Formats: sequence, structure tokens, C-alpha cells
Amino acid sequence: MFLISYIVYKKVKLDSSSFLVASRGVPWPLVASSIAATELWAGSLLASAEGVFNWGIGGMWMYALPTPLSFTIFAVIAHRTRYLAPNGTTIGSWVKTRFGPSTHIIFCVVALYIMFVFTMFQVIGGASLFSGMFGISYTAAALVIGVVFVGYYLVAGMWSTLVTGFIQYFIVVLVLVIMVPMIYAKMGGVGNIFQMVSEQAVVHEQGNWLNLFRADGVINYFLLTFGGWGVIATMSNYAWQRAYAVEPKGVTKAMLFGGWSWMPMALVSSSVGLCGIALGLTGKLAVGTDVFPAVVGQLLPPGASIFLAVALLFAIYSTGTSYLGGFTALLASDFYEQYTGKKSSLKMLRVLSVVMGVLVVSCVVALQKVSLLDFMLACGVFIPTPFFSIVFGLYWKKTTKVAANVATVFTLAVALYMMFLTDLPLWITYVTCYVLSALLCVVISLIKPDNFDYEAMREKSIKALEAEGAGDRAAKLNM
Amino acid sequence: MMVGEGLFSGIIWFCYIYLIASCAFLTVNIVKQGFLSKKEEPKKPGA
Repeated sequence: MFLISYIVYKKVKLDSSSFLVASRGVPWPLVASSIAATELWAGSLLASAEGVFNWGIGGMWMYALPTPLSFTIFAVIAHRTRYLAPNGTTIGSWVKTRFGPSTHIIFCVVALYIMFVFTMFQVIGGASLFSGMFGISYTAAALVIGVVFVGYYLVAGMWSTLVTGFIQYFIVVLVLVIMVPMIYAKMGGVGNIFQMVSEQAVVHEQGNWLNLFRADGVINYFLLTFGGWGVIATMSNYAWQRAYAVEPKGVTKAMLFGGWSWMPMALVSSSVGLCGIALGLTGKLAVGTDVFPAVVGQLLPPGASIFLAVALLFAIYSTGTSYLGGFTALLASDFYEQYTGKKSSLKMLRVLSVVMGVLVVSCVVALQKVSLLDFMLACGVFIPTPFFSIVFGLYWKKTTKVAANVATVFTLAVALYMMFLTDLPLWITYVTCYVLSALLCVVISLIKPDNFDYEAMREKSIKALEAEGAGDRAAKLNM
Repeated sequence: MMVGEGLFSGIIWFCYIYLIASCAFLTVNIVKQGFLSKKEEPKKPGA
């Protein structure tokens, strides 16, 4: 990873802008593979198998569908944003012009929290996994993971994450393409797996394991994954950075192919959960997350675990670097540059990345084996709350600053109350977030509507891009 | 909808082929278009 980053560093002209958004002309397939690699983290491989292990064959699409859907939604949003604010860098790039500083700060703080927690996920997931698999201390594993992904991000910033992201994506796919059919073959073929799952369904009285659209799974699993992660791309600053980094004509393609190329990795790894059911592992594992390693350990030679570990490690690195980049970009672009009026230097961005890396690893070490599930749940309600303020802000000229602020802050308060102080199912909280924020945004905007001029915003943005010396590229190309 | 053996096999192999096809598609396009940025458009005379 370091070597690849160094080669890239030697080939590109690196300054503070390209450190954050490459050159605004990156070929869309590279951005798509980077999105697929970033969305695939250790949890994706293990949790997708766990979903099927718990919910049967229906769990395959229930886990895999929300992420590509979120990138399909974001493809439309990203295209619009790149048109309106071609000089952007982050999620907050257009918000200050559209709504003013208060909304900008609210959106950026929410995005910052999501980026920080997601970067922590990678270190927590990686440290838990490798301390368990290889018996090394949790703290040492967290430090090594943190040092590696911060280290190669420093070499060439966004360029490092894009190019290494493709390599990591390719290797993870290769591991799955080789390992999963080996598992099928060891079990006597797919037909035999079906017979074994059918037998286990009878033994455990779980006829729904072979039901593709079981109602309880749709309510208690799909609505949870979709409610929490259905718009994750819109709230992930790493995705916004890529929307600004990609060649202007490839924005939509990069987002669509990124999300939908991630999906088969989740689907194929989730099929291992069916093998876990077939092998009769139900009720025999401490946690369902262990089903993938357990199946590999039971069926494949001892060395195969190394390939799984490599896939998991690469998944963690690609995601960790992308989120670290998203986090650093928010701090530099949306707080330092926006409110001091100064341009951040390359050196400053590198120092900021190191500080953030140290902060993330320190929090992980200080919390010691915090529950990933608790962290994910705490983060989940932050994702739907600002969604409609963003959508209406981009498309509806009547949307006001007050509406965007109230819709985000009030909905977040209601969501936190529902999550921590009531016993309501989480999917109800998610649905409430979407409905309430959309309703507040529309009603408050209609009371005293704004009349925003989107074309004026675009003109201003193009002038800013020309002032940076990059005008003849991104802004003027037809989208 | 209960899944029979044929549909079960179809789903499993569809996912596997989808994985290979999507990776091949992206890889071929990356190789064709290059890893690094597209060249900047040459400035128009007098611009």
C-alpha cells in the first residue's frame, strides 16, 4: 500500500486541493471501485453472513440492498451538487452559500460525528478481529491498523485512497471468488447445501429460512438496515469528496457502479451464512458474527484463514483511509478554510490527518472493546435526520434556513429520545426521522418561503474555481 | 415466497456471476481509461 501510494505520489502533482479531491478529473471506474472498497469493511463480510445465518435466504437481499439504493439516491444528488457547486470539496461546500453559517455548522457537525464514528468502526472491528484471530493484544492491533492507514494516506491523500482502493477491492473479490466455491464444493455442491438447509429448517422449526420475503425479516431486519443505512451515501463525506473528485461527466456512473458493485461482494459473503445453517452451527456459536470464520475453519485447510484475514484487513484499510480523508477534509475545508478565510496547506492537511488518526486510535484504546452494535445504533439516527434538508435545499428554492435547521435539530432530538428513553422498535424511530424531518422542512418553508437563485450560486462557484486556476476543467464541461 | 432447489441454486450462482462480472467490468474500464486523471483540456487560443 505504501509502495503504490508512493508511485502515485511521484506521478501526480500534489497540492492541498488534490490531497482532498484529487484533480476533479479522476476516471469514474476508479472512483466506483474506491466506493465499492470503502463500503466493504470487515463488518460487511462478517455481518452479511450473520444476517443470513439469522434470517435465512431472505437475509441476503435484506442486507445487500440498502447500500446500492443509497448510492442510487446519491447519484442524483451528487450530479445536482456538482452542477451547482463545481468548486466543492465536502458535504458542506454548498450549504453555507445556500443556507448560511448556522445550517452549515449543524450539517458539518453531524457529518463530522458520522465520519469520526465510522473511522473508529474500522479500528474497533479490525482490532477485535485480529486480537481474536491471532491472539495479539487489542491495543497493539488497534495501533498497527491505525498507523498503516494513516501512514499511506499521508503519502498522496485522496490519490492514495483511490488507487489502493481499487487494489483492495480487486483482492477482496479474488479471495471471495476462490474461497466461496471451495466452501460450496466441500459441502457437496449448491444442491446439497439446499438439502442440508431444508433438513436444518425442519430440525430447528425454522421453515422461514427458505422464505425469500419473510414478513418478520422485512420488518425487523430490512427496515432496520434500510432505515439506518438507506441514505448513508448522502451523509458520508467520503462519498461527497468522490463526487467532486470524479470527472464531471462520470459523477452519476461512479456513484451507481460504486454502490451496485459493492452489492455482489455482500451477497456472495452472505451465502456463507447459509453454509453455516447447513452445517448445523445454529445455537453453537457465541455470536452470529463468527459464522464466516467458523465455516472457513471447519471446511477449508488451516491456511485458508489467512486469506480471509487478508480480505478483512484490506477491507478495513480501504474504508479506514477513506473515512479518515472525509474527516480531515471536513475539518480543513469546512471549518478552517470557511471561517478563517485562509487556504490550508499540504503540510497542515498531513498534520491534521495524523492528529485525527491519533485521536481515533486513542479513543478506541481508551474505550477498549466497546460494542460495535451500540456504536452503530448510536450513529444510525444521525444519518436520516438531515437527509430531507439536503434534498429540499438542493431542489426546492423555497426551502429556508430556519426549516433546514429546525428539521435537522428537532428531529435528531426526537430520534435520540425515542432511541434511548422509549422501548419502541428502532425501525419506528428511523421512519419517524424521515417523515418528521420532511414534514418540518416543507411546512416551515411554506410559512415564509425563500426564493433562492440556484444559477447565481453556480456562477459564483465557477468564478471561485477559475480563481483557483482550474476553471477550464471541471466547471465548464457539460454534465 | 418459499425457495425451491432450482431457485436456490439460481440465486447462489447469480450472485457469484454478478461478482465476477462487476469486477471484470470495472477492471477493464479502469485499464482502458487509466488510473490517473484525464488530461486537462487545452486552453483555447486567446483564453
